[in-house]
Amino acid sequence: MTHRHRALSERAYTALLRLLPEEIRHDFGGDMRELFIDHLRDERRRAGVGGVLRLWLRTIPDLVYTAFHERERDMLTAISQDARYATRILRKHPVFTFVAIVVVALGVSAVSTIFSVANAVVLRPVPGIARADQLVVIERVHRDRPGSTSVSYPYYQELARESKRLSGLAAWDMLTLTISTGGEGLLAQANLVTGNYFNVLGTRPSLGRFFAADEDLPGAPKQVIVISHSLWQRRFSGDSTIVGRTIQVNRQPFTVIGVAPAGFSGLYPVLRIDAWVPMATQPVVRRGEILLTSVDAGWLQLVGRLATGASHDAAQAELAGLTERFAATAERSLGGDAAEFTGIRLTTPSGLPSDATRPVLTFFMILMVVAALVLAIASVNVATMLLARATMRRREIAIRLALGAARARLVRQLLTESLILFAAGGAAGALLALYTTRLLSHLQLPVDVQLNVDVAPDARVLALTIGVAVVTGLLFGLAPALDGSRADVATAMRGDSAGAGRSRSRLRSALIAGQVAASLLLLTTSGLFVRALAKGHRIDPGYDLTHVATTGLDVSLSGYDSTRARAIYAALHDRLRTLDNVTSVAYARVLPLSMTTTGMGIRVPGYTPTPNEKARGLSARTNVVSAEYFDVLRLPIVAGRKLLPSDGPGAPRVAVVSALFAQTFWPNQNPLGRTFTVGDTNRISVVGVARNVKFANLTETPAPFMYLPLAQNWISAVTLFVRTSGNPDALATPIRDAVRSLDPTLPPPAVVSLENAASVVLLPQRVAVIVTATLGVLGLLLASIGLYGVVSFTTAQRTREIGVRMALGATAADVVHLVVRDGMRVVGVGILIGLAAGALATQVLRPLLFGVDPLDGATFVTMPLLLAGAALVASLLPARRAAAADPVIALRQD
Amino acid sequence: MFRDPKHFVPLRPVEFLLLVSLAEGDLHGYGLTQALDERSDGAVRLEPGNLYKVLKRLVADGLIESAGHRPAADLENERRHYYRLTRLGERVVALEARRIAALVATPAVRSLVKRFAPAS
Repeated sequence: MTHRHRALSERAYTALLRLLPEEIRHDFGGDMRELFIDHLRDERRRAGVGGVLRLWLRTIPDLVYTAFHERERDMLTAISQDARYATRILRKHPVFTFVAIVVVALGVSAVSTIFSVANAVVLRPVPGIARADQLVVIERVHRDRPGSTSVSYPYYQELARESKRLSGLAAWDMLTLTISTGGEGLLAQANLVTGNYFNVLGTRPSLGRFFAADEDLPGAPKQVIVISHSLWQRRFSGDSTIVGRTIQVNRQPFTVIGVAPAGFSGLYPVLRIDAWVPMATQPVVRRGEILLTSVDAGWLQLVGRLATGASHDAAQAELAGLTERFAATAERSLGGDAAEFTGIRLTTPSGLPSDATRPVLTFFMILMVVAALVLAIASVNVATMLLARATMRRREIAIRLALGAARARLVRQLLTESLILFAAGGAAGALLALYTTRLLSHLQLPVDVQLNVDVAPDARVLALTIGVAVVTGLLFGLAPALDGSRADVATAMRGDSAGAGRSRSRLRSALIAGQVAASLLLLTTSGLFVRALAKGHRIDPGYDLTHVATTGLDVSLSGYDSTRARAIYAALHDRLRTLDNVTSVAYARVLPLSMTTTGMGIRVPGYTPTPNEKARGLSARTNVVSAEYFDVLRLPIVAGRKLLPSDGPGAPRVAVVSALFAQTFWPNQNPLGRTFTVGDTNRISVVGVARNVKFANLTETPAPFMYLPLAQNWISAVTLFVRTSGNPDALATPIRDAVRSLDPTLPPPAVVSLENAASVVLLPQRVAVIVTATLGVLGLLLASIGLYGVVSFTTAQRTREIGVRMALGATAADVVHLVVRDGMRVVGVGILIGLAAGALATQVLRPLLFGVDPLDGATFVTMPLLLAGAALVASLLPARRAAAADPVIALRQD
Repeated sequence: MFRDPKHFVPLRPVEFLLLVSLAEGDLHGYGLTQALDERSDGAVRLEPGNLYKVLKRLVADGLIESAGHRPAADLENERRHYYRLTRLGERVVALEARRIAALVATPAVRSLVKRFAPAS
């Protein structure tokens, strides 16, 4: 350590000594510094720079602790004194106090409501798993393309067998089961898991046990199932004799061996999971597929636990190596793409699919910023109120200063007042958030899965709420406190109300301009979302979503093989066709506008692929549909014919393709009669061309699309569509009755209108509109109240000046003009700032806007006008009041 | 001001250590921390704030007093503030020492010492 370092340390210590009360510093400060220097020299000799750092690590806590110890009594007395005084003052002005608390509560509740939801969806740790920091979600990614893929069972086995860095690796998949205990079945969301799944997650059963090793192997002696705590409560009323009982799962006997702990809902806790079945039952619960041996089929998600001492990076490297080896050996025969899937991504379980985490977080960030803006407006509002009050209390403060009060003490006093206000507002805001989140939890989302989202605020939300209230209280209380304590004793004592400091009115103007700007930013955001939603509704997908009822069906879950499935679907079709008003009935594999795409690899004879297509292989988006699909959706056929009931299993294989498909592979030729192949199947001839449509969502980029007949590409997990000339919601009961009359043990289908089912594509916009519009109106209201308050206040302060003007001949109109002009000038500045901020900030929203320009003219003109209008009203009211005043009375005042 | 030494016993261990160190002669702050370090086998280590908090209390109780500033031979003759025991302080140390000695002189304690912590 050089001399300079020593001097530096010495100076730092001297500075820190200022933490101590004056008296101690005087008596012992010098000695303490000398002792510190002696220690410094010692440490440097003994351990060099490291020793000096360690000395500092001991010294700082020592000084802070000593300072607290020495000041403890002073601080406690001062704080309780300040608090007592502050409550007295606040109680003396109940209206002011009440309004300020309500305003803060509104702002705080906005933030804490949004945070509650974000907390429930993404931030809360996954319940029911132990040592989550050791868990890793493992995904295969394409070398060049983003996004992840599900993996095959042989791949899972390879990793599970070979990995040394993982102490355990489990695989799982989502599926739907029909569970019954006699009588009508229940559709349950379930996970198909490897036997070690619960072990790897460190989950303990709340009743019974989880899977044993032999229950996971093919040919296990009996089929077993673990049910969720919530299903146990709902369906079996928490009966503890459930363990060991046999229930029907997809018409097969399964023995219940355990109940999962309360709250545990797998790795995606927002989805409600009712049951878990071991991998060995796959042939029963996912029929007709040989998933456990196929290297080709990617269907599993992986989760592993790091071995003790193994780092994330080491595991990543090891698994990447294993994956590369697997791709080069077992997957070699697959050719093409498989070799490219050598990338590996390890993430910690976030409670959402890893590719969804980021967009969801971004969405919540936007909403959080919006809510924070409301809080900022509310806080600024209270700050202006405090500032106005500081002006009125000038005399009190001047007297205290004149009597020798230290300014620091006055600042602390004023800060205590605002902290108490904000703390009370925060508490009220938390209560309000309890209410708003309860309202939210009753909202029904248009999604076809059972959700399990508990938005009730927890300790984390409460902590945030308190923290936010205290920080904003300090932040927004500081300026008025500093300003208020700066009273010029002489002027204030004279009681000259016109002498309100120039800096004070400037601060007030800045606060108002800030409020206006923030409020405009809110309104702009909300306006853009409204435009986007309107545009989303106007986007024509290319077919008719109205007057169609729809529901998912899968009779294979109830033990039907494909022959019986075909028969019952045909019978259901015929029965539904006889209903009044029903014009057509169809089945399809995928529900349109449900954010789901399926694609298949194809080969087109005579077509020369581009190099890019050659590398990736040709593919087309696909839906497998029954004959009347085009009628049900009113999807126009532009050439050739639709699919017909005669396109059955024995008939020549056919397809209807989209216009873009035809244009891509047979440009400027007649596509009818052309052939292509899917996988290794026989040739498929094109019999018709359909209009290009938006299939998965409203913003997708167009791609070649083909419709294959269901009868030739059988799958029993389908969506049923029924078109009616009447109200589609009225079809729910007839459809359910028709299903029950064909087989009373089938689970009752959940029927919704297609419009409703498809509205999930607009869900983010819908939520955004609701949130930003509510908050935007709230912000506008708060800003207007703030402006009204400030204009009233300054006008009242200028009563004498206005009286003089009127006595000198100013008309009422002149006075109104004067007051309004002053108010609107500040508003104008705020609007300009808000526009500039909006122009920058709204760029972030672009992905959510369906192509509405973030600088959308209509929004950027309407919203400032709306705001200016509100501001005009807010300043006109006090102006008219001032103009109506009698100049004689005004002049006599104070 | 006369005060009864009995009011001050038992002392806190840190105070006793400090007073015992001062019994051997006047010491400055650094010397005191060194002495504490030695007498407690490194277990008691006081940073400046903590040390002066204890010294302040001992001064206020009249057990020690300032011995003025003078050059410290062990610190390259830099001037340091020395402390010394007062008469009261000396009597308190004596009283506390006798109390502790009586405490440990019982046969039971002696046999425990013999068994678990024999002098090496």
